[in-house]
Amino acid sequence: MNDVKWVELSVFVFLFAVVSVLGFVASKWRRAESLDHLDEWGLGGRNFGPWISWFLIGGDLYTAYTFVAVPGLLFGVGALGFFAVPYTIIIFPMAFVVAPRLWSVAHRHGYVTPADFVRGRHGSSTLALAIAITGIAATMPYIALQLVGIGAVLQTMGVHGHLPLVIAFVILAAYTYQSGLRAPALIAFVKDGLIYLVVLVAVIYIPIKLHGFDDIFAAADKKFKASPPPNDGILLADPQVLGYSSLAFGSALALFLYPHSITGLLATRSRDTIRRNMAALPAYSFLLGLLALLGLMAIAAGVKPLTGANGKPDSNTVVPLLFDQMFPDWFAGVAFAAIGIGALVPAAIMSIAAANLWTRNIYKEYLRPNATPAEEARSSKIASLVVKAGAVAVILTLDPQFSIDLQLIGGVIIVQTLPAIVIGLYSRAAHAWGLLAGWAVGLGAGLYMLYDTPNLITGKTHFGGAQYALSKFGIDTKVTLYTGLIAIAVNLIVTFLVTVVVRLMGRGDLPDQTSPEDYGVEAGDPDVKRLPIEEEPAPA
Amino acid sequence: MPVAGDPTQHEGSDGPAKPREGGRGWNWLLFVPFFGTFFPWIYNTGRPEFIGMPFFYWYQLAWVPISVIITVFVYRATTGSRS
Repeated sequence: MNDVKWVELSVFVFLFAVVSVLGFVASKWRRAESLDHLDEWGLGGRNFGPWISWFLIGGDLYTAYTFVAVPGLLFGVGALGFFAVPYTIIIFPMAFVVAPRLWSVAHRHGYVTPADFVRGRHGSSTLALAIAITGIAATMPYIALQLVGIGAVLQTMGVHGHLPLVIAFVILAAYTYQSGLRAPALIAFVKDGLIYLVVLVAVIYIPIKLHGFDDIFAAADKKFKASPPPNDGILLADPQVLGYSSLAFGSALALFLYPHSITGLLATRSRDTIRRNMAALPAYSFLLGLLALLGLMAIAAGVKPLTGANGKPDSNTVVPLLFDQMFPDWFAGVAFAAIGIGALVPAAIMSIAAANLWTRNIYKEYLRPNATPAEEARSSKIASLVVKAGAVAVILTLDPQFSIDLQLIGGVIIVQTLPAIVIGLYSRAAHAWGLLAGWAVGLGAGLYMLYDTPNLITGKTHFGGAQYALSKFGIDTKVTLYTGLIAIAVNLIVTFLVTVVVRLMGRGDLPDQTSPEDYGVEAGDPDVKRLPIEEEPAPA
Repeated sequence: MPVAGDPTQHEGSDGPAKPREGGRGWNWLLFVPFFGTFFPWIYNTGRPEFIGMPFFYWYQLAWVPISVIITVFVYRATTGSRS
């Protein structure tokens, strides 16, 4: 441990301690009478206004992993990594229209999870179970990846081994258990404040030190031209273009289907809060775009990534190394804390979201139908611990590369919940059985295509990426397409066909709890109950 | 120009059923950022540069503020009285 950077580490530990205290104090913030209700523990009382929500949702969507992985991707392959920018430009205008409908119907009926809505709308607890399991499966590796983000920072500071990671997560688990969604909401202020500070300093200070963007792009261009893989460069290669836009579009479709995104949405006070936020959240996209360029700056600065646990260069260490090299020690410590704390906020929200899915759509639906609100809250609190323990186990026992593969899979599988949720928000044209069949076939097709994708650079034969070569369909081309987008097309086709068959067989629709007006209600409207409400009797 | 958020200035706000959000036609404007960024064929080029940044990069970054302006505009145009 003689290469530990003590100044950086001290600043990091200090800021980490500050947010841990905040996490525990948060249980008293905007306090409800009791946290023994899922609306309180799991949705922070459903009462966050525009400002808190902006920090919370921003802190939720733009994770530490994003902050190290996207620049790492630009460092490795160049232009392709910039897909994160159009991705986040495309999503918010779409969500501006769709998300308020989900908020309204959830507010009207007291839904806590996306699967709750599916259950109420499509009348099938089996379909809801499928949605819930998909959500949990997509979220777990995402939590593990937050640990990868913290790990990259610790490694750069000369701290090795798993123990510090485990300690960080135990503290996180303890205050999430205690305070529920209020903890990440309060910490998000600190996280986003630090991130904005660090990124603004970085994108002004580092280019000046590197003699401007001319030199940065020239150095990156030189590196990519000298390297063997043909598909890197500061511009997209021709066969990559469709892959780039389909990846941006497909990722955008997936973003607000993730359970933690929906938890952030449903924790807001009003429909108007969501609409305002969808207009204001792209501020983070600008930040992300600037951050992404740090990957190219690292090339110009001559950064050499540290060796990861699997013996290969770990591109996630590129940004921490750049900070370490460019900034004075104390400010590098602040930057590392920003990334580390940036991992805690989404990890907390993700574990809460997964826990809520477990409680509402598995525990209460199948195991204890008569669970009281207090029992639901207790079940979720315990489940949040289990989820985090699972994430730590993934990191401790598996090659980190594996969690990155899982994340790749995560995007492809979560988008399979799109028809049930998004079509469901607009119409009941699709039958529950059609949606279930579409989900199953889309999932199978997506997983098969991922399995069937080799990676020529790393030499892996399976799960080599989420770009599927169209030549596999017998088309003579080098063009690739985002796997998730192909899989969702398959899903939609099967949903349509099975729906037609079910209707031809004369099967009627399953019961729908919701009515058309529910999708436009605003907080405070007449006959909208003040949430949290007591549980409605389940439909017969 | 009507004051945004002023309930009396929006069409339909005098209807019987408290139109909190009106003028849904404005939502079509939300497709503009999509068309601006979804087709890399139009911006996958190095020139013209801006402060040393290839077109590919600054063009996409420029769409962030443009999309914010459009979304804020649509928000204001479709938000009526909040009772």
